[in-house]
Amino acid sequence: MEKFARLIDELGVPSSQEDQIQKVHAYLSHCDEESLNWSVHLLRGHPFKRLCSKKELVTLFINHIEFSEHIFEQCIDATGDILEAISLSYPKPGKAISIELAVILKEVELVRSNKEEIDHFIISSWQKLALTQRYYFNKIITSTFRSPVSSSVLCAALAQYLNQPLDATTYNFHYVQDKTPLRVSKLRSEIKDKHNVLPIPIIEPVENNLDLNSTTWENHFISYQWNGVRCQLLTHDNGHEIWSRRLELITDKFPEFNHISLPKNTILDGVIIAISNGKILPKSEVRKRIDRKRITKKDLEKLTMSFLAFDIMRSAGQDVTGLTLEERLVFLQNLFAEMSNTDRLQLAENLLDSEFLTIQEIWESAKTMNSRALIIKAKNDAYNTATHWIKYSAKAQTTCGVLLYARRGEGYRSNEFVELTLGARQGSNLIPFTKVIPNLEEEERLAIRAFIRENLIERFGPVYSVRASIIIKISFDGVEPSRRHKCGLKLKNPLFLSWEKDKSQEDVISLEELMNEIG
Amino acid sequence: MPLVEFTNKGFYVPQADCYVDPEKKVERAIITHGHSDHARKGCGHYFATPLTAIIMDHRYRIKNCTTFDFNEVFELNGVAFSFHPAGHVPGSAQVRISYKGETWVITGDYKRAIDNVCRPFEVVPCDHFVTECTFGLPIYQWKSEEELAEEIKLWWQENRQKKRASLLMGYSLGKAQRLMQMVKEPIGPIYCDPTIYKTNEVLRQAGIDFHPYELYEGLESEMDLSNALIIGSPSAARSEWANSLGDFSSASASGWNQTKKRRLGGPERHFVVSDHADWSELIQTVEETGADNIYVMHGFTETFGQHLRDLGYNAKTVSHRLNQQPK
Repeated sequence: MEKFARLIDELGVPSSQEDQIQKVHAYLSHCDEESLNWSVHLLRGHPFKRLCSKKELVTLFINHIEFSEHIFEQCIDATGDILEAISLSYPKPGKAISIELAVILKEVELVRSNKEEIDHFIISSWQKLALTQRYYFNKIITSTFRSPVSSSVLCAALAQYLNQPLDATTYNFHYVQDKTPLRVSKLRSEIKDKHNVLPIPIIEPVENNLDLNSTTWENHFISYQWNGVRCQLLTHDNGHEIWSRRLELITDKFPEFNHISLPKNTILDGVIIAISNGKILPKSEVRKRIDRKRITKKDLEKLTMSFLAFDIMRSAGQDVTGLTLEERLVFLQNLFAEMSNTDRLQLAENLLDSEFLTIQEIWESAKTMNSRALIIKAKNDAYNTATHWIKYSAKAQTTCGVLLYARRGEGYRSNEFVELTLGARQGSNLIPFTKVIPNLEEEERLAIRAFIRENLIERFGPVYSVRASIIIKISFDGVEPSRRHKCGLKLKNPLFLSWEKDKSQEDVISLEELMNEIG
Repeated sequence: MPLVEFTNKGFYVPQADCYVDPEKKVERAIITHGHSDHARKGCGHYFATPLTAIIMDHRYRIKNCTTFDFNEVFELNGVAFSFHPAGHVPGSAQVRISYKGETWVITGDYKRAIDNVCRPFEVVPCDHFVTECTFGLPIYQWKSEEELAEEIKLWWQENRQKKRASLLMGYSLGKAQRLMQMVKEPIGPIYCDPTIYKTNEVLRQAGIDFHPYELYEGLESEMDLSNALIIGSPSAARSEWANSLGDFSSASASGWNQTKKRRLGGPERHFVVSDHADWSELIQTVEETGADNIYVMHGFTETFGQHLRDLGYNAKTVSHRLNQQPK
């Protein structure tokens, strides 16, 4: 625990990636095996099941200290963090005992089933641990620990530690998706050797709002940006794998692709889309499938998932990333021509090839396909060097909402409002429909703060409910239906634009208007 | 008439017509230690310990000072005064004031940790105890001197391995000397910035033992500092002086480093080293003096005062600035 706390403290200091890798590597090499597994589990940001809530911890703390609650509040003010205030103000141990991370976490697992012993366990741990260790202990057991390193730093450190190439480590790191502490020894190169095909970094299109009619597009490949989840489908000697853009392994979420007949040793780039009654659904439907723990028969029947391939990186063992798009497409078309069963796999076509359409018409037809952008690729670009995938999308829409709630920040931002909730009209009521982060000049910031304090209706912890009168203009990229939100919809990428002082509540958008925006 | 009054000029002893740590120019001033918020220029006459007198002469050119050793009693109009070690900085003292069986102790600033520079704090029994409480919150709990020394040594060693200079920053009187002496067996040469060097020279001549140290003026651009410990003032890392250090790791040493938000930005490392008493030491000291009337000043006075009241003491908070009587 001592070494772990020191590592996290050191990683908190801004430093170069090289430095971070070195620090993590040095730490891993001095760890016993069990602690190593747990450390990697925590550092990669995997969840640790909560032992008790912050609130329960505070109650426990207050019952065991020799000073009043008022003083504790002062401590929270001074630190800006409840857990830190607890960790620092519980009397320090006479002599700190060094406990290995794995030992203490194992004890947590043991005590978890026995509710009565939890309090005793926490107090006795506090009595043993030095102040900073206590802080991270509290963070871990309340499940609020956040890893200070990115997965690329962790992978690089692990590769050094395991003494094997980085790409194999990275592959295994993402391949082994254990929820309980993963065994670091599993990351050794065997898995990669068994599968011999690795997902490769995919190209991200760059947003560019150029004038469509200004140039000719003969040498380009144009497609919709399909409303789905971008992923790569690869086959190796032992089967197939589907990797998401963020390199999550999602093969088991899509059993419909289990019987595809792709040649071995092939990698396709494409999107998974959800189709119902011949209509393409928003990509949140696909995301929902990925988030499911178990896929049932009902799930499979409800929606048709389809993989739409638009590029190929490897064809039956041959690396084609160095070829131009035009040449790659030949490979892709041949592949599809030879395939017997193409139910689930589809080929994305160059929309420009259909002679009746100009690019402007394609753009106009995009909305009917539930797509809000076009992807434009130069035909002579190779995959491994391409920088010219252009994303042409609709300009963001703007609208106005009325300020209903404001949330206060934490710690050093505790006298600022960091999140505003806006409402839309529904009949004579105002329904909250989105949250934005304010981005205001000093003067307006102070004015809005003063307004919120003066027009306070009620406080819910850090959230202030205010009299509806401030009108705020925002921009957003689109609207999706949502069951999680009270208003039934969710704005995509809402951004704060300005405080509209000359507008009144009549200018606020109504919920019906927003509903109509849903594609 | 109380023996000690709290005025906007400082602690006033009417019977002896003199002030302890006055904030304004007065005729007679008794000084606890040489920091500028306690020792001020322009008073008629000063009383202090010999070391404090030397420091005041060096820092503020104060000459008219009568000195008394620790535990030596001197009388002003029948009131008995004496200095007792406070352990805060070299020469720092508590002031004991006694008249007709009533005893007051004014601590100035103090710490309970025993370092290798200052004479350690001594408990002085009294009826009225005026204590500072700069760090009067339970979150302030200090590590032992040995643990701190170990931390600093480890940091120095790491930098040596990476061939980087180690710049350790602390207040130039007290903290700097403490940091310098903290590592008992230095693992490389020690350099000081000009301010600290001059202070050290004065203290060395007054008889305090230091590890060998040299002046680093910031002009020597070709000097190899990769294994050196450089002691600098708190803002040293940002000054021009630091430009010639080459590749260096900076660290600050202060009690305020205890909380995470104070550790944001600035130097690479933050050591929690304070020349003040922490929460438990403050309570321990109050207990050990046996005083019933406690006056808390400087810092989290409200919180600490309230806690002492909860513990059953007659505790009041004192503020000079407002010219208030204790409440």
